[in-house]
Amino acid sequence: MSTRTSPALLVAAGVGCLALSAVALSAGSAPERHRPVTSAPTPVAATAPADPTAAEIARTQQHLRSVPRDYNAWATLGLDYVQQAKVTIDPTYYPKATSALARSLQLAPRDNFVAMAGEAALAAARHDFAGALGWANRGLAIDPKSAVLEGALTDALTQLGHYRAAEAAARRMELLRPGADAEARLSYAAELRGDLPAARLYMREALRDAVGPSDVAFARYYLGELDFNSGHFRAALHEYAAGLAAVPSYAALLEGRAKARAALGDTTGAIHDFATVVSRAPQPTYVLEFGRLLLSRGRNRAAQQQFAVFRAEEQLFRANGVRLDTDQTLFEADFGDPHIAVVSGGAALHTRPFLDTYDAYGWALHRVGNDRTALRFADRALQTGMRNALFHFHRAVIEQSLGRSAAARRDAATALHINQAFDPIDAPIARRLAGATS
Amino acid sequence: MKRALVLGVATVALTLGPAVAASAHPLGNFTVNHYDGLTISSTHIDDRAIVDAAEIPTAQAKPSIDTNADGALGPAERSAYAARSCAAVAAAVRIDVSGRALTWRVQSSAYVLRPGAAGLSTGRLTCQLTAPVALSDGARVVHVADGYRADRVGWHEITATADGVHLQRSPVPARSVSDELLHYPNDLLSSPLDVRSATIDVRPGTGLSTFATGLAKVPGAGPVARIVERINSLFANLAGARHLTLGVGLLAVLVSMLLGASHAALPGHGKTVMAAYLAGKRGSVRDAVVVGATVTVTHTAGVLLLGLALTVSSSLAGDAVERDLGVVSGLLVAAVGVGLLVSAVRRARGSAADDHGHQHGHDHGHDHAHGHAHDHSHDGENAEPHRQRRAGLVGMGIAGGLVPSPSALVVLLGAVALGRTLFGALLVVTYGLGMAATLTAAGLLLVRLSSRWPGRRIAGLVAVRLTDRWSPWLARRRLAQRLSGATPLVTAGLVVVVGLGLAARSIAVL
Repeated sequence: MSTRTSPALLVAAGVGCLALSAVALSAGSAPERHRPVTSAPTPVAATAPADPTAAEIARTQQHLRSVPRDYNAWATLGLDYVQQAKVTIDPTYYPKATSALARSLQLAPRDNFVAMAGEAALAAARHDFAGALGWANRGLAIDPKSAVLEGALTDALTQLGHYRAAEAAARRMELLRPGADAEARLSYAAELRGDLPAARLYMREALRDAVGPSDVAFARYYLGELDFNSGHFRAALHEYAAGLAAVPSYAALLEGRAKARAALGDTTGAIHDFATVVSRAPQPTYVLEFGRLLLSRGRNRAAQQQFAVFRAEEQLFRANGVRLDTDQTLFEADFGDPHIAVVSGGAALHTRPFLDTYDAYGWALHRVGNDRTALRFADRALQTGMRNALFHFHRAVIEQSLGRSAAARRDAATALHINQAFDPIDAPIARRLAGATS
Repeated sequence: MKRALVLGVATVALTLGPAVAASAHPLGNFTVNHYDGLTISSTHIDDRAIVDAAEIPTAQAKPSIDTNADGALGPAERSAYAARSCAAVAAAVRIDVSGRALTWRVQSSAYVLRPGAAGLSTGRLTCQLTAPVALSDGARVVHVADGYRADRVGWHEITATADGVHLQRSPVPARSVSDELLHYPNDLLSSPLDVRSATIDVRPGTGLSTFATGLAKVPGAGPVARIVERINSLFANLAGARHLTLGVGLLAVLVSMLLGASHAALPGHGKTVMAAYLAGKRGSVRDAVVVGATVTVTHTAGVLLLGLALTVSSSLAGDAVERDLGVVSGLLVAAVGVGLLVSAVRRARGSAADDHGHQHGHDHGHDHAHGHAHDHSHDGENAEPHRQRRAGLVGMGIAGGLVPSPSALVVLLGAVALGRTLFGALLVVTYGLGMAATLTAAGLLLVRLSSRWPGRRIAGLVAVRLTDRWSPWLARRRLAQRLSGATPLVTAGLVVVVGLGLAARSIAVL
């Protein structure tokens, strides 16, 4: 559960990643500022939001009311809607983004590279990485100098397992537009190679180049993740706190703090933080992590409640024809039906041949007793040299089942060496494995 | 890695899924949506508070509703949950009347489950809240702020109706646009409603919520403005036409000129000031043309520069810049007025000033070149130097053209976005020419009138001023001016006051 989040994807639409702050601010105070805007009919929301993305959206909406055929404005609006959906976690922006981008491409089907960047970001958010790659390449054929498109390309290539090509695209992006967006992607590429110092360095640069509080929160979160995932819980806590000082409502930072508190033994604090996180942003991953923590602390009933919520979310996803990715695979493997886990993990291999997918699929295969094949996938998850405690732990258990005790001990020890509290349930098991014969 | 992916996919998947939108919660499966329907009467305030929770928050609430843990939510469990939740809502919806906090009493509460997506339910909580209050004995300010589950993403809506009292310029509508969270409007060009608080002036007496008068206050809601608005959108569409033919191009140019002319005829373009200036200075035809030309140049340059700045920087807000320029423009007018005032004072000290003035105005009527020469030769000690005079005129023109018209800006940006920068710039130029035409015409009208009937100069001033929004205020001034015999001193003072007024109005928009 302690694998690092993909900054690339968070950046994906969060180009210039803005304004959770403003959302947070407007949540509490929000004295409505009514401004007589030129002449067009007032939209339903008459409030003038303070954050830049919302302001730009309001401006573009206004503009499109008078120039409804401006395909460029429609494309910009679509991109902004995708970004706003991610920043505010308000999914109602996605259908709007879809329609706005469709309108733009309808008005100008060719040479409309801004709309193509929007489609790429939207496809990536949908987990249609092949589609995202297609849109990014189409856009770059028209405008090879677009940093946004290089960013979209980087994200798609990463999730499709083309790590070298992805890093090259990130470098091109940095040349086109140096700044936090490119540096966060370079940091991620370095981390996937197992080069933690470089990953930290790039993320520090991203922090230095941060524009506005949500950029700061974003960089702080990933600095915290880099620390947490290498077992430096206090340092991680420091980064999360610094991020929360910039944007107090940033859900990911609260989740990070919850994890770090749990790792440092502050169960009460961790549970409190997790409860806030899932109440504010019940993302399946957070719900599942919370459930695992509760279970590890013997609070079975409370844990089952979180798992019930996770299942409800799974149900919604299935109804919508979308897979819940590695979360579902690992959840079914650990707490549900491992056969479902194998099906879901196997399907993901085609749509997202990424390290996480290999790891989860290997773990699902292990749970149905197919350890030989499981080991192949566990190896592939570690092929790039990424320092990932969970991947090593999973391989250790698989090796143990295959009777390779020495290898199992080594991998369990590596997992704990990387992060001694990588997961509230799995870390104690890893300790037993590592100390089994020593 | 999962986390962010899920963050993305979870939200998308729950709403983007093919053809599922019909059954899923229209505002996304994570949302908790709030509605407060206030009814304000002279003795009490009622709040029909509704909380519409989508599938996920409903699933999250389930364990706390299902108190006997049998997996089903029975009527007793639901009504107990409704009572608990409404008590929480009553505590979280803060209301005060002129600073004094009220305490809600829960009159009734209900919680119903409605079928949602994927066999899951959505939960709808309805709380009828009431609080006693005395509103019949004077004006009060009612402030309400809904802080219930404020950290959850969702729709936030407040409405207010009156019963036996009068709501003065209520900032919230009387009717719910979402039909009390049953039908969420989905307009591609608007963001979800996010109104969490409202401050309403309540007066004794009867009358419906006066939200409509609030709308009428939007500048230019009159019939003339509506026609201008229509031309406006025609113009914008012409500039944005997909296939630009010569005919369409010429039409766009023509319309832009018309639009500029009508724009200048709308309030707030310093016509009064210019008229007063020309009246005070015994201006010539040439002076009017100078002002007009300066307006065109300034406006065109201003729009082009602002357009450039807006294209380059996304952090710049067009309306904020316009507001600032409005202030500058007003102050410029005031400065010119001060200059006028100084020269008027100086002239007033010269003994023959008045007599001379009449004759002077006459001369200017037919020969401008001569007029200026006249200035120098005959009026040596009281007339300001030529350069200073021209500076005053140019300053007036700059003030008139400094605030870029939003419609010109929109057209320019639209044209730039369509890759027709030059065409856009051309339209902006013709727009400025149109503006200049109106202002020059106004100036010429004045000059003509004053040259034919020197005594009727004020009549010209009035004619020009008729369209101006300051007219009721100025009417009093005009009277005063007539009484005092239209001395240059008064017109100069007028310019200062109007300039300050323009600046103050721009600041007030804040």
